[in-house]
Amino acid sequence: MKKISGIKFISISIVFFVLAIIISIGIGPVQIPFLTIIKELFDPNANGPYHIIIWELRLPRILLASLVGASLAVSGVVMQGIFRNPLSDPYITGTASGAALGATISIIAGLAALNIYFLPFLAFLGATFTTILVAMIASYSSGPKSENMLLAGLGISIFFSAIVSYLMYMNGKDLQTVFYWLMGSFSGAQWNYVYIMLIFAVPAIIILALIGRDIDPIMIGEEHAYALGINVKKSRLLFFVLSSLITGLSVAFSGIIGFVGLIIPHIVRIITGPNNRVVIISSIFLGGGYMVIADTIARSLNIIEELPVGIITSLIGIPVFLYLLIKEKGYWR
Amino acid sequence: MIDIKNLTFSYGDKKILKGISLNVENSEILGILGPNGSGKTTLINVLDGYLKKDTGDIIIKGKNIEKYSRKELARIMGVVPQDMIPAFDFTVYEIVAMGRYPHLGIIDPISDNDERLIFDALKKTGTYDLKDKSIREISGGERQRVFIARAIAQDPAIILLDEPTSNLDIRYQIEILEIIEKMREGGKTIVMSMHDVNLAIRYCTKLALISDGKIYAIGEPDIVINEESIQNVYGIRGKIIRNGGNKIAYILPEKFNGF
Repeated sequence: MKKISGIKFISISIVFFVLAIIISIGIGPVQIPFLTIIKELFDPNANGPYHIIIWELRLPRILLASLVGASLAVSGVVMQGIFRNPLSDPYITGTASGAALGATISIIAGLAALNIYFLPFLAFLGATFTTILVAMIASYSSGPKSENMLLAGLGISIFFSAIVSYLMYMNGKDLQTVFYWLMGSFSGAQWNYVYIMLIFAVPAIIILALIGRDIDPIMIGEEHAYALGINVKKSRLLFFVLSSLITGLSVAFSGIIGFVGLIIPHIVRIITGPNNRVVIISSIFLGGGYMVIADTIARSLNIIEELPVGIITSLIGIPVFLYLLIKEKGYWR
Repeated sequence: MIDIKNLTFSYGDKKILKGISLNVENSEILGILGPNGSGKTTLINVLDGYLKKDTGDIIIKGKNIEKYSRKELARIMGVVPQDMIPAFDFTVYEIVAMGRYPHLGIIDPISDNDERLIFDALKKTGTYDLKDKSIREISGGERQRVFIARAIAQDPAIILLDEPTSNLDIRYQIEILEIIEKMREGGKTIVMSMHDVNLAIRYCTKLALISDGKIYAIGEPDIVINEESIQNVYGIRGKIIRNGGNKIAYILPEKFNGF
């Protein structure tokens, strides 16, 4: 397949991102015309009949979805790159299982029902705890090789997932709540969640986009990266911590959403080539826009009740991905 | 330029380098020869700091290697690792551009001067026409030249190469070695491990013969390579054919009949 130049694809992704946001504002139980949306968004004095729907209901949810989508996609690019492993996703290092444990405990112990911030807080605590644990195990194992970190993450994931399964099994009444959270959803979105993402996740994403170039030599080989002046162990740890941070925040606010972090990076790489700065910047907008669309579908289908967004992301995205994979033979190795 | 004293290295309990001492002068090509498993590649990897030595000192330009930051070291020492096919479709240009990374701040873009050095390196290695191709779709000989171009773009005083001519046919081997010879003429100091004794004799200004993690002999090719050293290090008998004067031209191994 003919590769598209980085600048061109980044521009396309930005247009896609902006259109996805504006269009999805208009979609829902109440349809809002395009021009009204533009007026409400950009005219500070606008206060039409749709003002509250746009600003209080739809916008926080859409922005949260876009920030989470961007975070997961960027985190996926970074994790696949630093571990040189196509199966890596944002959750590979155990973040999701740690968050799941925190969330499950908060639901089962009844904390989640007391205050809406308990669940994301405990989920984030769980994610941070696992990240530190994995980083510590990896730093005790010798050498700059990546396999130890990957295996430590895998081990911890399986261990925590077993605890979550046990807790779910023992607390049948909360099963559906926990299960729904595990599938991922933006139905609890708030402006405060958006602010927290803007303050912590956005700067981390910007830093990753700026320093992402260092992943290029690591992807060729650790020996090569070393020869080019990159302290592979330190550099990998920095990338690992930043992408775990944005993953942890995403999981805390939206549960465990599959596909975006695993597949968006592959789709971008197939189209633009592996240059990490380009792949990261494109993934921010493609991942963000894609998540907004998936969430819009999830909240407007209304089969019985709202669908977990993770179901939508995979159902639509995987056929596209498989098509690209078949067309671009031997893309990875 | 490079001063190595009593270098040792082990993988776990297995001692690979058992006290290597040698020095390399400015604008030399030091060839490291020795049988498989003698420690050639390990020596290169320890020399660039990728593997941590157990004991001994490595002095680069009068300063202990441990006193350099990773990036500082990359500015004075380039490495061309053993050939492998990268897993990703980076273009030839992108690969060679990575040679400039040690000179750039982490977010600095490639400057015009960097660009000039990149194109220069591509031209010197005859890879300019390949610059937009994927590193995965070119031949082994071309790939090796691209990684040498990256080391040239890196513009270090010292270039280490790990078996730069392995798996290449004779024409590519000569091409690569002539590029390396030109780098030496341009003032670079070269250390490379090699399999082919005959080519090493022809292109290196100095040879180190390694046997079982120790230096068996080091010096000018004509002195280091003789029937006795070949027998002792490689365990084969060989006839040395001299070409004009007293220069060694070729080693003609006898049939092994060892088993």
